[in-house]
Amino acid sequence: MSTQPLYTPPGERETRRDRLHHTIAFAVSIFLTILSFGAIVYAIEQGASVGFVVAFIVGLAVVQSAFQAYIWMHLKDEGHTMPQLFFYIGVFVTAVTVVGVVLMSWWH
Amino acid sequence: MGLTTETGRIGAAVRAAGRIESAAHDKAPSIELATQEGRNKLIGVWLFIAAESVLFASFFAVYLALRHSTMSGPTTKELFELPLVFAATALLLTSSFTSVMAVLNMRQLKAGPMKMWLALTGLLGLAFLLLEIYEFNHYVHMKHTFVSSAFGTSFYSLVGFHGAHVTFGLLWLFALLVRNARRGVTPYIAPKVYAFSLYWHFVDLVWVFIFTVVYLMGKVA
Repeated sequence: MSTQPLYTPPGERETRRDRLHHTIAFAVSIFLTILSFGAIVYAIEQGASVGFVVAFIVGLAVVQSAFQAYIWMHLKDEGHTMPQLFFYIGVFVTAVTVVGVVLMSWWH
Repeated sequence: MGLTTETGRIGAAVRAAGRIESAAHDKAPSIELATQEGRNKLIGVWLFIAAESVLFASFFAVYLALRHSTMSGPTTKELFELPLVFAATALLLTSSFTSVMAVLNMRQLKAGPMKMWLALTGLLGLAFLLLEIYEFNHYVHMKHTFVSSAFGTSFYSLVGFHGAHVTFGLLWLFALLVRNARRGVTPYIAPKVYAFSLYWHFVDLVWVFIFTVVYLMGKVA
């Protein structure tokens, strides 16, 4: 029975890889943000339909928040079963609340 | 006799393979998960985040339902200025990135760089908050206040509640930096820093939906 260390600091290689992943995630986030703002400023001028642009930017927001949760909040890492469960329940209740109230206020 | 040796050898090989496999799985965790206390704290933070997302959901839903009820006051189209919102978004996104860098340094047990990145996170958060205060002040001068219309109330509830989260995060970060100014990275400190970074990412995640749903959609719908 070997004694386990309490924790292991990651090696230089692992850290470099993590740093690269997080930097890429950051660059992608900024890119998606520019895309969203650009869609609102230019696509509408170019005659794109409002419904399409709104769906597009909400889609981008979902992608960007997934980046935050899975990469920056480490939700994708091992041993995150309970956090994932909490997160999904949060997302589910959020979706029900927002969709429910919006539908109610459309046909009031 | 020969057969027994052969079986013995295969058995030993299987056991050895098993040991390698289990060694790969029993890799010691990162420092913030090293103690039971740390693991409990972080589960608690996740539970808190789940509850918070439900709270924000209600504010989002109410805002979406009431955003056109302006009582002939200024509309979202007239109020919002996208360059300012973009600057605020860039600040908050960058602060999320710097807090990730702080956590990476923490895992490498580098206390100095960790505190440097945390301080940078705080400065970016503060800049965001100042922009928001400037923005709200500007709106109040345009007669868009908390009590001017249902739109006003739902707008300030949602965006202001997020701003209050940024404020609380800054106070939390300040306390963290002052309290641990002379301490290195230990399994006792690490979950505290990690808990803050989770909270900060969540606040940023909410902002992603605020700038999309409130500001960008406010410019077109």
